[in-house]
Amino acid sequence: MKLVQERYTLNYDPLEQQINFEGIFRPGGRDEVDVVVTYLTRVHDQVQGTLNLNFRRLRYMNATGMTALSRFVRYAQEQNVLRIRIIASGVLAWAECMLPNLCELWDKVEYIVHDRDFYRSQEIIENADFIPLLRNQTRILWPLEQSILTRHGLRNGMRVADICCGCGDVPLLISREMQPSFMLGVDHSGAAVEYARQLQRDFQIANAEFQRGDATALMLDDNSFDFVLCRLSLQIFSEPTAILAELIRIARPGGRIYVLCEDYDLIVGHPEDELIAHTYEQAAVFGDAMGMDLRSGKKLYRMLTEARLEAIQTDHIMVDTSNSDRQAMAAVIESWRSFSVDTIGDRLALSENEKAALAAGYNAQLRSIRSPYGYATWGLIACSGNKPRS
Amino acid sequence: MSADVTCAASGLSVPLLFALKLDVDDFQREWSRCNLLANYAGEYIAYQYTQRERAENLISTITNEFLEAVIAVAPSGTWLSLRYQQIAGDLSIEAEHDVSANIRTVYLNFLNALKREESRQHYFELLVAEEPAATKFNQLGLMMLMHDFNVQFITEFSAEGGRLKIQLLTQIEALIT
Repeated sequence: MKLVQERYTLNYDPLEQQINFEGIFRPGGRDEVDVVVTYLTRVHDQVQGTLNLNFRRLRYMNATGMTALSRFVRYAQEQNVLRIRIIASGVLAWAECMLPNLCELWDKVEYIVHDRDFYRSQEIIENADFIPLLRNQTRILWPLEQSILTRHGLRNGMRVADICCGCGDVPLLISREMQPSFMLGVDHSGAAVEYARQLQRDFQIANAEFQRGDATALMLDDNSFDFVLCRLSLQIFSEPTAILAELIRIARPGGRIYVLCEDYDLIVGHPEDELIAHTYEQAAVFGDAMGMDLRSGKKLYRMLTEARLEAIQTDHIMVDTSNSDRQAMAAVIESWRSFSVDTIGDRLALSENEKAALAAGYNAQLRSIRSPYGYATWGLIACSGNKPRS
Repeated sequence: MSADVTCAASGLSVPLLFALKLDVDDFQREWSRCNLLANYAGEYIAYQYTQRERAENLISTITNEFLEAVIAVAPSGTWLSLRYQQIAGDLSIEAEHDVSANIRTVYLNFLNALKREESRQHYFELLVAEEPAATKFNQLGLMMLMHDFNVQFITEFSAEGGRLKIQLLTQIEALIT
């Protein structure tokens, strides 16, 4: 059941018992409001329990649009058989100002902001303090990943989107070194997006743009990019398939979706092998407790296959002490140690002994990296597939 | 267009973000031009705020509601002057336009009666009104600007020229954080 108007669509999703509002809902008058209210009440009369009204991809609404919602809430109140849940996005300022008013009309209307606490580590990951860690990772990963991106189909002249782009290093490197026609970076962190824009200004890169957005409800058109990336991000979200669905939606038919995740099972070190292995096992367990799947690299092939992508291709990216600068690699491990032992450790209220045991493996890995005879790896899996043409 | 202009109240020079002179008929013929212009204004101005997307979203929403109100009361064949400025941390949106004679009194009374302390009750009365107000202008939208977006209105009507100047002052930075 769908209501399609010139600038907005109301689409009922029976799986979620949810009406998705998309586009720009600025109706021009009473007749248009009547059409919308009729549609809403028709859906209302067919369901039980809670009806979700999802505004996460509605760019704007006007006061006339509010009258339509107000009339619908009053209808629901008269019938008194359903609860109404209003779902908004923190990216959209209008929604936070206007939609909570609907709760005042009837006590069975609930208002939630979907992307507030929508993954457990959000507060840590989206903090500006996290940016140095991201930059250190890119410093050692990009020299190896650039050729992998080419192998997976990234070409000059393409329209490219990097979803969950962090502080923008990789989109800017792609812009400068791989010449896309347009490069868009999207991240939910306001601090990271501001950082990316500053870098863009400093580097005077013209064909890139950054915007703040919710990866599970992107404000981007269907079928609008040739190549869509999502790097080092699916593992931290509780809804990776919801993000993947958005990556696929915005890719054009035949376009390529590329995902990259690390996998702690691929991290090894020598000579203190066991100590290092034990720490990463523990770190993965603590990551689980924070809602992060740090062994997700190996699961990407299945995820893309289940999403019915075609021509799926995978590659290992093995950052190690033989192909990367040891000092830069040590800087990454130091960042991880601080993140894991201090930030995650404090969040999970680990004891001092647990923290010390965790730190021991990172310290052993650092000794491996700094010793000319030592060896250490950071293993990741890249996986990509084509969006079907039909 | 970007230039400094002198603020009449303070005598200080304030940056003009842009100014437009628009044909009211264009908007009355094609209502969606309110949306078009609002989105343009939002994108044009939002660059100076820290949270650009949220600022753009707010400026567009406020502008659209304001334009829908102004266009509804402006007579055909007249023009609308629109001016955006930054005044001491506030975004000022100023519209100068004619008001149709048949609606002038009720419209001006409504604007003069807009008071923040009474906005909550008045807003909900308009939101749940069964029928639209007999006098057709965007009452709910104007009230919403005050109730939801903390907009402050300053009006100045020239009886001689029949033109109304409305200035909206809004603290975008406070709303986006």
